[in-house]
Amino acid sequence: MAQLNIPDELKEKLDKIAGDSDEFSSTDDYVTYVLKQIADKKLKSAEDEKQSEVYSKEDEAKIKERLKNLGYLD
Amino acid sequence: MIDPHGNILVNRVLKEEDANKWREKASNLPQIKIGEEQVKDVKNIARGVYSPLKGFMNQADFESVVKNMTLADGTVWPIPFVLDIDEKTKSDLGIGEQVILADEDGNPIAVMNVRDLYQYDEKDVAQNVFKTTEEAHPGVKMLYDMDDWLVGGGIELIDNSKDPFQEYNLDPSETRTLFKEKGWKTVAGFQTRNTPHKAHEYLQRCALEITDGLFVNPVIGKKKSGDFEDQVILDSYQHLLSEFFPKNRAVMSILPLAMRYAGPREAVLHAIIRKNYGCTHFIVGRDHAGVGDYYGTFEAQEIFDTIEDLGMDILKFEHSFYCRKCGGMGTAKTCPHDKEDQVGPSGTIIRDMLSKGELVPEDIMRPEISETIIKSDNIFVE
Ligand SMILES: [Zn+2]
Repeated sequence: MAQLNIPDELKEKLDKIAGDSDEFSSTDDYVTYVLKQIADKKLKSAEDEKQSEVYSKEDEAKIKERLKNLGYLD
Repeated sequence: MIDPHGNILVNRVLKEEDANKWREKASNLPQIKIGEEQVKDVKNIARGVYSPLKGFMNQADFESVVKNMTLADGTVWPIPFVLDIDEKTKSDLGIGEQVILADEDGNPIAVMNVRDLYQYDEKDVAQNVFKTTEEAHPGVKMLYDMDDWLVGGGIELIDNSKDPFQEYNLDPSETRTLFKEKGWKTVAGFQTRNTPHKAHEYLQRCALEITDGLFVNPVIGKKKSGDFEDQVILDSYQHLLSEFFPKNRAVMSILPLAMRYAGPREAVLHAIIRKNYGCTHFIVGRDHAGVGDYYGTFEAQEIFDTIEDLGMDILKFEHSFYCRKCGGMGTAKTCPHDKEDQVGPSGTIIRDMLSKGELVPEDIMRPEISETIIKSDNIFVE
């Protein structure tokens, strides 16, 4: 487990939220949950930005060629 | 043409020049060795067979799939696709870094962008996905054999080779083009791990009566002892389709995929995969993708009523048989006669007779198909 530094006032706010919640047993749990959500979203969008190659006209011609060679198309 | 699942046909196959760059760099990067079945998953992801998956699942998608049968964004997805690694491998990896996925001989298969490293509760996964925690279930056994850590992240395919059976191995982009060129607006997908008997052929014909085309899609890969050899399945289906179906109404291509035997959840996966291939209809018989007594006979059909509409028609069939009184094929829905008159496709009879080199009774299997099978050197997996 690693430790991070955050402003004291923020820590107080987070203690309050975690303390009022039934879902989280500690401020650590709450902070881990929230940060993980944000991190996953960020990393996932980095993945999505790497757009899948879109099939071009050239690709389509190649596809038809292969289908013909294999006997799927006349 | 039906949209792929999640509305995106994933293409993560690297162009040859980019693939070569990664081949050169591969030895300087951390590597994860992946087994034969995982190589199939990597290739399927890259070729869009598992669209919209772009890689192995991160924790959010994984946990959502296990609990809710959806990806984190709500898209229906029934089976976790994860890459397991041991503690030592995990310690070599960092979030945001790239790692080479290599086969057992060390050949680079894909490059992966590491986005998540996490652990899981195997009993909880087993119960949710397979509805049992018993190790006797082959899918559960595979799960329990996995290493402790999972690595999530997108992949890009370096090795796009298609052996064996490359001549029967079409990508979703290819089947979609094929269906379009044939002018098929509706296509029924049929999943199989067997040689064709008359009961299956009957379902295929029923489906083809209401669609433009039939797509026979045998699952190729790891088999149990006593299963038909892949080559035999392909040869016998090739014979059936070329001799007994109109030329422009039926095609076959393989699906390299490891069975998980997750019954109902696996049926949903099988449907989604066929949607990605361009099928508008998918045939689900009784006991689809089950094993032992873990799932009810109708569960694999009923599950489709409990999930969000996949946008395709699920054709749910009863067991079919030849009825001597009717003088034709039927199911409990269409034949009123006694069990004694109904000849179903007994796996035991088919196996015994073929292994002795005998023709299976015509009520069960076409003699031409029996002959094709008997001619093979190896009929069954040892
Ligand atoms: Zn009858």
